[in-house]
Amino acid sequence: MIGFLVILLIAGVMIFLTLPAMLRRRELRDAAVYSLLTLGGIVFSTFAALLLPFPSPLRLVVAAYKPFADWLFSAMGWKG
Amino acid sequence: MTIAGLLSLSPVRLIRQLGLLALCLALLLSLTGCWNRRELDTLGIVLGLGIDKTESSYRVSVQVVDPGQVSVSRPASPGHSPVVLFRSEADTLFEALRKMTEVSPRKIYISHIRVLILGEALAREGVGKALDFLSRDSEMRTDFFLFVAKHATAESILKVFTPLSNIPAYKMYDALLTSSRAWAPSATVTLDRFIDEIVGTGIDPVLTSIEVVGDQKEGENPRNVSRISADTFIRTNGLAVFRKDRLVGYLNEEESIGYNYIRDRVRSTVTSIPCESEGRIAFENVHSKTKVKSKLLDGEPVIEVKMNSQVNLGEVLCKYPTSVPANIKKLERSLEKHRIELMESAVKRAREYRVDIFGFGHVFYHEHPGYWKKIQKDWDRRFQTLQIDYKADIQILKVGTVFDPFYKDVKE
Amino acid sequence: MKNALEKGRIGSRQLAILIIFMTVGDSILILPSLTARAASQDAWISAIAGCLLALPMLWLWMALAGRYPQSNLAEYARGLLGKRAGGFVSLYYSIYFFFVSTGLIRELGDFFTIQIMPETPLRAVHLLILLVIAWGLAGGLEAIVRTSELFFPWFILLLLALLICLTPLLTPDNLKPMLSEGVSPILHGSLYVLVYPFAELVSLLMVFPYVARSRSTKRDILLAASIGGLIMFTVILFSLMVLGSYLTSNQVYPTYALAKKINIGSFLQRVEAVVAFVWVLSTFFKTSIHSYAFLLGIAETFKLRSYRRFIGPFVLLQFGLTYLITPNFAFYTDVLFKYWPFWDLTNAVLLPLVLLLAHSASRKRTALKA
Repeated sequence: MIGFLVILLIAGVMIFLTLPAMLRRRELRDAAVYSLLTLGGIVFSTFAALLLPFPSPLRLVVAAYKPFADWLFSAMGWKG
Repeated sequence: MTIAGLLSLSPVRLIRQLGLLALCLALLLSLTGCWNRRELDTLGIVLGLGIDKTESSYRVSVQVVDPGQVSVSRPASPGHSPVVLFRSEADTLFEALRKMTEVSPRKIYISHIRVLILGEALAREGVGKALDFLSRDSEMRTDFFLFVAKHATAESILKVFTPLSNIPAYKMYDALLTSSRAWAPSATVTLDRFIDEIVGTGIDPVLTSIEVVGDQKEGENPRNVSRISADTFIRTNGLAVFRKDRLVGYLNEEESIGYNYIRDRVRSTVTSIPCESEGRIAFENVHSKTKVKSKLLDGEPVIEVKMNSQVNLGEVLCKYPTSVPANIKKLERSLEKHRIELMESAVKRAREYRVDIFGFGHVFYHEHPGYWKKIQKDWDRRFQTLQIDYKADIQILKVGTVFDPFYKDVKE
Repeated sequence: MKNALEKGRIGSRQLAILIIFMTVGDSILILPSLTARAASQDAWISAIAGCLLALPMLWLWMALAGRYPQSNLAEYARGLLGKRAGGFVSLYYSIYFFFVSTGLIRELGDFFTIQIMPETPLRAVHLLILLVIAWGLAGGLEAIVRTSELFFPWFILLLLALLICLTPLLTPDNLKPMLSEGVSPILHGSLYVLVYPFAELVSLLMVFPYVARSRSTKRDILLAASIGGLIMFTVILFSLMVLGSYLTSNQVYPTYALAKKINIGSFLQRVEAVVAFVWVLSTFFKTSIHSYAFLLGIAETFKLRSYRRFIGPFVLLQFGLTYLITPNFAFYTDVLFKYWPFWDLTNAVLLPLVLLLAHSASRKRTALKA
């Protein structure tokens, strides 16, 4: 839980320091991307900080290339 | 910046300054570098590690330095041992080493071990599994030597007091190093080379065997080294032959020298051959180079062992005129014959054990990979009948500081 | 260039140093064992083959970047493929750069926690690396590149020291028999040599427009890549000759094992932690450039005002993902061995090729109109 709070605190300080300035200057696109990235950061960091299980994003890479890789490895007789 | 200066800032800048300060402090913490530290005085530095096998578990013994007893400024108190032996038993090595904290006040630190001794019982059963931990652990290095305790447990070897070097593990390490350089029947095998030879194709490993000479009980007593001539000592004694990771037997001194000649591991050694009449003549080997080549004669494998060596004559125990060139030639020929006999004896013994410790199969794998692939499964049988052509070319360079043995000219 | 996000400029000598650092990158740690697993004692031939295969790839990038010397990958992707598809491609590339840098940080973290500091938590190591990278990013491209210039002599010195100290241990016999299993395993090994040192250089397409070009820039790039390739070749060759093909393939970090073997007269020994500085440096610069490419790519994709303000969220994201990218060490190595090379190749060869084709197609169209 402490990990989550620390992350929230850091994110909060970050947002406080930069987001209002962006909004004031009407850089809305920047502000949106900033909020999105920060939100993602909070989510992922919390998973990491609290050691919660999370499926590896690399599984997408594996899923995308598995058919091709398997075919190539067996066609060329490469060590698996 | 002073506190008053800080307070005069605008809120945003104040927070920024404070944040910077906090960041600096946080970095300060991390810059000490260590997550956890282990001070020298909390470590039990192991110099010798012994592994034995009981019925179902491993018995690990470690020789730990007692720093108070080996420090230079404070000489050792007499009667106290400079090293301490701890042992523990568990199903795995990893557990056994951790379990040692039950008896040791300091955490066992094995990064500095000099020797690893494998008990004979364990070696006969196979050492592969016992070595996994050592090859896996991040603290381990591979610069220590491996020994097999001949007809003994590793623990009993590590318990013996040794003269000249008060840390027995160092004694074993240095003795092996010296003897491999100046006296040929030993092999300085490190962990990585041993593993490489266990998994290698067409080759089986050897290790130096080590034994306790004299009474074991006497050797465990510090009195053992307080005399000029220690009653009990440890010594290396030829090589131990393995089939993959399993000990199958030993080579005696001559066979071990023969083995080292074939593997081209001889730095320097002294050998003697009989004179024409009684007595012997001894030579010091100053250089030797052996080349092992493979070839196929009508589909049959042939190994050629070619040795080229320079020696100096060192001692003559008969009335043999050493200043006559023809005699030197004669000596060269008989020395060549002797070298070949040494190598043959090693091969003969290896054939009895049915293991190719010379890596002849490995040479075929290197030079005739196609042929090797075909007969790989059958190599053990072929090794028994393999034709081996030896050739030795030896030069005697010097005869020392005199021409002839002086007693040749003694008037009777 | 209307919306210049990067004001800094780097010289072609600095670019060359950067390329050497990036080619060596994490490859010096992971490549020997991957290639030896694939090609056993022929891995050194794989290294040569891989370097040769990399040449057409470098040519492809230079052809692409040469057409648009003023723009980075994200800019001309949008220009060539249109707003929608181009935007998607540049976002995709940013994500790819992000994950390459995630992988690199994880590799460094794994290395530290496996070999040197086994009781330090992985995330603590990640955080430290990330903070340094964030600092570099805040300084901008020029700062990163100048730092690399500063560290370059040390890097070369330590690398040379490692190699020279190992020469007494070389056993050329370990390389025999040559070509015993045919060409296929060698090709397999060369895949890794092509991919990890070279294909991941594709992030440089985001940096090329900021290089102050001279007549020798092209030559410098090729020269730097060849030096990097030569270093990788030597490291693989030395691993094979000192450790043998079995130990090289079964060691998680063969290069570290090599450094452990250094022992000159029982005097110069136990220097591995010093030598580890070599790959800490090279991986750091590779990671920095990939992180930079991610930030710049995101900024280009969404037409943002600046990339620097996104360093904070980047650190947060990266801190999470470096830990989550793989549940354990074995999974990651398996991905590196079987799948990641093809992802790299897609992004380093296939997509740039598509862009180049789109370029010549659009040229034809304009030529027809005229």
